[in-house]
Amino acid sequence: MTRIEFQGVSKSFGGGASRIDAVRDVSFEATGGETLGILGPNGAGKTTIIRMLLDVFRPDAGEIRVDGGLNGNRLDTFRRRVAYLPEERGLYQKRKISDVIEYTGALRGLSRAETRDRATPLLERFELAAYARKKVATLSKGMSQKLQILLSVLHDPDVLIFDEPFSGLDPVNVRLVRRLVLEHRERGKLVCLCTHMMSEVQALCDRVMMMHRGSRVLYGPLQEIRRAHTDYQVTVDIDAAPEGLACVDRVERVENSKNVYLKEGRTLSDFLREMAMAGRTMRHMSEGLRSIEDVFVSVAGASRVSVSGEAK
Amino acid sequence: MMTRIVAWYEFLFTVKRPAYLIVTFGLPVFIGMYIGFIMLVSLGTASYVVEGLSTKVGVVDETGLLEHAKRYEADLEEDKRRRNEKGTEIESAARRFEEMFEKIAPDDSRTFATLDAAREALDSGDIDVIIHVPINHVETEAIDCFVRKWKLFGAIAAPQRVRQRLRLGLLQRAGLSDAEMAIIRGGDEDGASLGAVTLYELGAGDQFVEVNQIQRILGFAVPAGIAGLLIFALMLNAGFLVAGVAEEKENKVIEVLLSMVRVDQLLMGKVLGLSGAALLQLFVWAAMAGPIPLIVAWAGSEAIGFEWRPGVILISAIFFMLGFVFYGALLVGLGSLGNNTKESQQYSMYIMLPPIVPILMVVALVNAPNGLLSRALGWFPLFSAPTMMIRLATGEVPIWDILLSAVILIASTWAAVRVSARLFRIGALMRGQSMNPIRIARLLFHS
Repeated sequence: MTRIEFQGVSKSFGGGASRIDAVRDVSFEATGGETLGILGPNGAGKTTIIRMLLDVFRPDAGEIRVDGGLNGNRLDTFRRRVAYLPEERGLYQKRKISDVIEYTGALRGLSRAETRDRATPLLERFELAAYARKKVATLSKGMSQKLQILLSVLHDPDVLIFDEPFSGLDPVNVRLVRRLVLEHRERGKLVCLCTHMMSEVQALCDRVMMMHRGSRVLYGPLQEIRRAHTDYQVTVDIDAAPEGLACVDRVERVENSKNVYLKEGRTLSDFLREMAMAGRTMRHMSEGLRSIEDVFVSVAGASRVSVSGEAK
Repeated sequence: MMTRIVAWYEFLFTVKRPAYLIVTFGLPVFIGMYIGFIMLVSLGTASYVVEGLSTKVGVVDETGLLEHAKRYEADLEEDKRRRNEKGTEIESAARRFEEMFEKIAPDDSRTFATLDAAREALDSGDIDVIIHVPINHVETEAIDCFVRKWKLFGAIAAPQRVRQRLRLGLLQRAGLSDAEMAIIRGGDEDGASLGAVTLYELGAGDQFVEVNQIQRILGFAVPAGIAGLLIFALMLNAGFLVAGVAEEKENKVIEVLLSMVRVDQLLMGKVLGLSGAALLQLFVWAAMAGPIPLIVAWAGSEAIGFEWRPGVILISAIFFMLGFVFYGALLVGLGSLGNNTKESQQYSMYIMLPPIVPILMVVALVNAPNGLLSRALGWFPLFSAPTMMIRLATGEVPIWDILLSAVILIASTWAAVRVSARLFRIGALMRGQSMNPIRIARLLFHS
C-alpha cells in the first residue's frame, strides 16, 4: 500500500519584505486504505502541501517521501499513480469530451484501447455517456465537475488527492462522489481530501491534519481529535435531573434531552455508577463528542494557535 | 515518453485549429504574390550596377560622347539664357529634346582616359565602380561595369545616368544617323535600357570575370526565400503557442497537467509539437508551390546555370529548428506569466521583436555577411537563427562561424528551456499579478 511522509517540510515564496512562508515545518504521514483530511482556512497552506507532493513546487527544507523513497526520485512513477482534482477546475472547453479523455489517458500511460475500456463504465456511472462526442463547453457546471472526477480516476490511481470535490454538486452527486471515495479507500487506496464541508470530513476521514498560517495545528485520528477537543459529554433522556452527582460539572437542556458535562477526569462509568447509586433511571443515553466543525471553527478562529496544544 | 505524448497531442490540437488551417492553406497565395513582386523588382534592377548607396563612379568613355554631352548642356544653358533675354523662341538642336532630358541627374562621375587608370583608382578605393563605354557603343548599346565585388542590395542608377548622358552626347553631334536617332528615341523616359550592361567583378588571380546577375539573385533568393518562410512560420506558430498556454492557464487546465507531467516535459512537448505543426505547414506550402522549384531548377540549370545549394538549405533548416525551440521555450515561459491571452501576447512581444531585427537589417547582412555587425548578430542568441539563415543564403559564411553560432544557439536553447521551466512552474499557477522585467527577474531568483 502507498505511504507518503512529510518530514519538517517548509516552503516560502518571494524574498525580502514580500516573503510569504506558505508552509512551515510540517510533518505528517498517510497510508493506503485511509482517508486523510487536510483542513484549514483559506491561505493556510493546504494547496502548497499538495503541489509539493506533486512536485509542482519543491520544498525549501524537509523531505517528502513516497513509499520510503524521496519524492523527487520516484516522481515519474508516482505521478502515474496519483489522481488530482484541484480546487480550481479546468477543462479544455473547445475540445470534445472523447478527445479530452483520450489525451488524459495517454498522459496517464494508458493505450487508446485501455482508455476506452476504462472510460466507458465511468461515463455510464457519471451519466456522461450521451455527451462523449460533444464539446466540453456544452456541459453544465455540475457535469463538468463530474467529468473532471472521471478524468482523475481514469487510470485507477493508488492515491486520490481531491481538493473540494463536493463544491458545485447537487446532493445526488455528492453521494456519488462520496461513494467513489469510500470504494477507493476500501480497495486500499490512499485518499487525501481537502474540503471545507465538515460533514464530509466527519463522514469520510480517518485522520485529519489541520493547518493554520502554514503550520500544522492539529493532526491525528479524527475521533481522537474530537475527543481531545470535547468537554466529556453525555446526552441522556432522563426524568430526574442529574444535578448533584459528584462527577457532573454542568447540565444543559436541549429539546427533550439533557447534555451532561462531566468534570475533568471523570468517565462514563463514573456517571453510570453514580446514577445507579442515586437510584435514577434513564430511557436513552449516548456519548457526545464535539463535531469536527466545532473543532475547526475554534482552532481556525483563534488568532493565535499553540502548536503544543495539538492532538497527537 | 511524456514529452512525446504532449508533443503529439499538442501537434494534433494545433493542426485542427481553424486559424492554423486558414494560414496554412490560404497564405501561400499571398506569399506567392509577395515573392513574385520582390523577384520582379530584383530582376528589374538586375542590370543596374551594384556597389553601394554612396557609390563613387569612374567613367572610361572611348566614344567621346560624354564630352559632347557636356557641350549639349552648355548649349541648353545658352539657349535658355537667350530666351530669357529676348523673350523669343529660338530653335536649336538641343531645344528639340529639352523636355525629354530635363530630369537628368548632374554628372558627378570621374573621367579616366584608360581602363588601366580607372582600375588603379578602383584598386586604391578612390572609386567603387568603373563604367566603360566601348568604342562600338553606338552600334551595340553595350556598357561594361567593373566592381570589386558584386552585391545584391547595391543597385544604383550609375549606368542609367551614364547612358542618359551618352544620349545627350549623341544629340549634340551633328548629322545623326538613323541608328543614333533610334538610340535617342528608343529608351524609355528615364533613359533606361535593359540588357546592355555587362557586369564584371574581381575573381581569382585578380582578374575581372563576368557576373551572371540573374544566377546570383536566384542563388540568393531561393534559400533566402525559404529562410523568410521559416521565420514567417515561426512568427505564426509562436502565436498559437502563446495562445495555447494562455488558454490552459485561463481554463485552469494547467494545474491538472502539471500533476501528470513534469514542467520541463510539458514545456518541451509544447514547443516540439508546435515545431512539428510549423514544419507541416512548410511542407504544405512546398507542396502547393511544387511546380515552382521544378521550373526554377530546370530553367536555372539549363538556361542560366543556376545551381541548387541543398547544404545551405539543410543548415538553414537546422538553424530554424534550433531557433524555433529557443524562441518557443522563452515564449512558453513568458506567456505563462499572463493572466489572460491578451496579457500573454503582450509579454511574448519581448521575444517576438528580436527575430525581426535581422530582417530589418537584411541589406547590411547581405552586403557584408562576415562583417562585425553580421557576426555579432549571428552570435547573439536572440538574433542568431534569422541572422544565420540570411547570412547562409549569401554562401560566404565560413564553416567555423556557422559552427560557433550553432554551438552558442544550442547552449542558449538549453538555458532558455531551464529558465522558462522555472518561469512556467511559477507563472502557470500565478493569478492576478502583472509582470515587468524586474519582477520576472525576482521570480527567477527566488523560485
